[in-house]
Amino acid sequence: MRWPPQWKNPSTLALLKGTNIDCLLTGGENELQPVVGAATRSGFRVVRKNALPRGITVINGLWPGIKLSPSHDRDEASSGPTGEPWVNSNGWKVRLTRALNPQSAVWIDSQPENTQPGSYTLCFADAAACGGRWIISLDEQLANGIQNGNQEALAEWQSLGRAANFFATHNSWSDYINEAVVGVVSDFAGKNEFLSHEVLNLLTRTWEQFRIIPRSRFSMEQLSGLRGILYPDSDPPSGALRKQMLNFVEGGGLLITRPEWGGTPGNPIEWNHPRYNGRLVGKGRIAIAKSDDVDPYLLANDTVALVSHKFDLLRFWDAGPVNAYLSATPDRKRALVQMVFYAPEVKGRSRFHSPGTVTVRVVGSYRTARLLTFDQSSQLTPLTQPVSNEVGVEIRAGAMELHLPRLYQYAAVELGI
Amino acid sequence: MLRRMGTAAVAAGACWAGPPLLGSTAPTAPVALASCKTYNRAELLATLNRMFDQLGGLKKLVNGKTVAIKINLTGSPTYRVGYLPLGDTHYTNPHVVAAAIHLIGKAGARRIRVLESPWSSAYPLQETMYQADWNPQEMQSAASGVEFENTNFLGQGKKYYRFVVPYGGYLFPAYELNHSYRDCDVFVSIAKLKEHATAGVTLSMKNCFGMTPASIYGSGAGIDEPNENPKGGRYMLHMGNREPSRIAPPEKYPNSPRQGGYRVPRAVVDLVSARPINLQIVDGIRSIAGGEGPWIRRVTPVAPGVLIAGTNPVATDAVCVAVMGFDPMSDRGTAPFKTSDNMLRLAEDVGLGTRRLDRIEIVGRRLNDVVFDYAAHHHRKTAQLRTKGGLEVPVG
Repeated sequence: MRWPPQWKNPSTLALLKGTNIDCLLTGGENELQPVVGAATRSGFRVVRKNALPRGITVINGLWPGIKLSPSHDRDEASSGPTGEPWVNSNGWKVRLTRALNPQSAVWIDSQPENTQPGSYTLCFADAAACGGRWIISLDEQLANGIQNGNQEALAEWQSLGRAANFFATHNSWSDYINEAVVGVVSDFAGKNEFLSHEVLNLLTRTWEQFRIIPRSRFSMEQLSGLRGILYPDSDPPSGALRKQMLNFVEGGGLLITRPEWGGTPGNPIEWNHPRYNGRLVGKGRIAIAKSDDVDPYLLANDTVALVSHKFDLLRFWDAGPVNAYLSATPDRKRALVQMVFYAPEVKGRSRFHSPGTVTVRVVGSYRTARLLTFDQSSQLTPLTQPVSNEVGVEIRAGAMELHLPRLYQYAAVELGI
Repeated sequence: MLRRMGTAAVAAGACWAGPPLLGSTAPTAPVALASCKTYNRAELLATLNRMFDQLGGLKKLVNGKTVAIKINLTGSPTYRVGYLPLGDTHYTNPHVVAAAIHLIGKAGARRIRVLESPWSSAYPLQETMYQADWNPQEMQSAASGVEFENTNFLGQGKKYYRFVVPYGGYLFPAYELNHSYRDCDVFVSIAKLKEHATAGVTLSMKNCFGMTPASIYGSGAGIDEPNENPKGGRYMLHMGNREPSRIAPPEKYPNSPRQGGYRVPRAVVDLVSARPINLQIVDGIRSIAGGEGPWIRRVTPVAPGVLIAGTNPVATDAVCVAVMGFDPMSDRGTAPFKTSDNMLRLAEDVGLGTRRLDRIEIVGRRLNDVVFDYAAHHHRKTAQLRTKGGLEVPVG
């Protein structure tokens, strides 16, 4: 947590009681010395911003949520290309940083912006659902409010504490394996940075489950379970990488790439796609973009459609703006659906929500389920009976539908076989 | 020549004379009514088969022909009414579509194309179906020669085709549509039995509003050229806030009312006149009352348990309106046309068909036996509707 400069009195450390917040970040301000001393004596780790310990990668992030128009009207949002509200999220950045630096913890540094009730909790969840940690940063108004005992400010603070506790309790989830249908293979750097990063951001918004595969860490094992690979880089892969990707295609997979990929193995197939030519290679296909001028929004959505929604691992209805992540224990005996909801919490009807319900379809056969939120968690319940009064389940061929109440900020469903 | 002005046009002081009134001589055709309580395949096949026989048989209509079927997938496939499957509320049910395809194929159709212009999409139609949790394979395998096409843009065609409105058009003199609406011998509209917040009802005729490609008539349509990445709804047809892409002819009467209740019914009649519907099938087994989709606040799931089919869209929709407990002769101000002009009247005026029940032969079930009062179901709560091992909807 970035220690608020106005919390100068060591007594403010009491606010951390029972919160699982154990690391304080300071700018080295002299007036905070009494707090720093007391914190150190109480067992807190105190870190100076310019002297971070090893093993931590800090990345700058956005303030998560629906991107509001300049009027800041609650129901007036900027739109993405589909007309759906644009969502700022740091989840893909956390995932990418973890993929590039597997041994490193990832901290997100994002400053509060146009905060609304629940938005601190959302910011924490947005990073934590992907295995990162937000450097808790309070704006001046909230920090003052908490210090002065303002009820609304304290409620926000307590909510944030519950979120921190929740993810500390479930820290093993960070080790779960991402379930995916598409692998994004790139060096994610240099001239490929913009497109590859933006595609990760936009793929997240489609609910397509994807795996981030840095070129330097590519292995055939990482393609396990995938239906397709997206290679968005503008430079051709090395010979070895190319051969491995072609092996994947020959085995029945789909490769989506650009003309710069080079070479045209296999035979052309009649494919009336406005932006891709198709080639048949072994049992699989290659979709090669017709133009090297690639729009990231179209690339993300073309990828989903080329792979096909037929293979969706997660589908949502009436969820509003939600990012969702499906992962599983390495033995695949337990699966986890984490959902981050970006719509602000409002009473009554919002343009971001349909009234009252969320449905999520999860591929797979499971026997038990439980719903977890920051405030309550149901028991792991056999699916032969209702998960809770608020959660219904419908088993379908090869999948299950979970019928959930309206949810805000974050919820997880844990599934067991 | 006898002419009259549209009600809304009068109210708005617009100076526009409509097409000739041909209502008294408008054609009629039998309409088949059947009870059908479930989407069970066997029940659907038996019921539809009987209905088609009652209409004179499918074979003479489709044998050796290319048949295009416009289905109704209104709105985003990620919206539901409560927890209910989309086909049980506001989408045409996929089992009805599959059953119709099977019978059309069995009657000798050479090729069957399933068509729709799904929301904000230029991807294959099957992709929208998957998102809606449908299995397009069920339709694909229901007959041989089944194809799908997204008609929201150019699609598989090389160019758009101009469909001229024979009577000159209420809104536009002609519409530019995807090739699939021309490259067919028989055109079928499979619709849902629903009310519509803007147009009063959405049945076999209103379903054809969705023929218009959003690439030309959508919110994101290009000014000069169509936008082949179509986005958004057809606001320009609803409200007349702009003209379609220049590839299409402009509006005939730019000073006519900019109201959905005036424009949408007229666009529908224009379209149905320009691209006649040869066979109408309306799914009223399960549906919603109060509007056309979950974005309408008062919608409530209902289970009328009825199928309607016919070969004249005005007659078929008139019977549908009566099945829903409304009077097809109602005019603007009376339910279901409280805020819109009655598209049945507009269609009758241009001689597309009659809406007068006393001129329509109803075969199969008697109308009074299947009437389901939609208006009585407008304000029931849907938020907590839940499925428990199967569909659970408030019935009748």
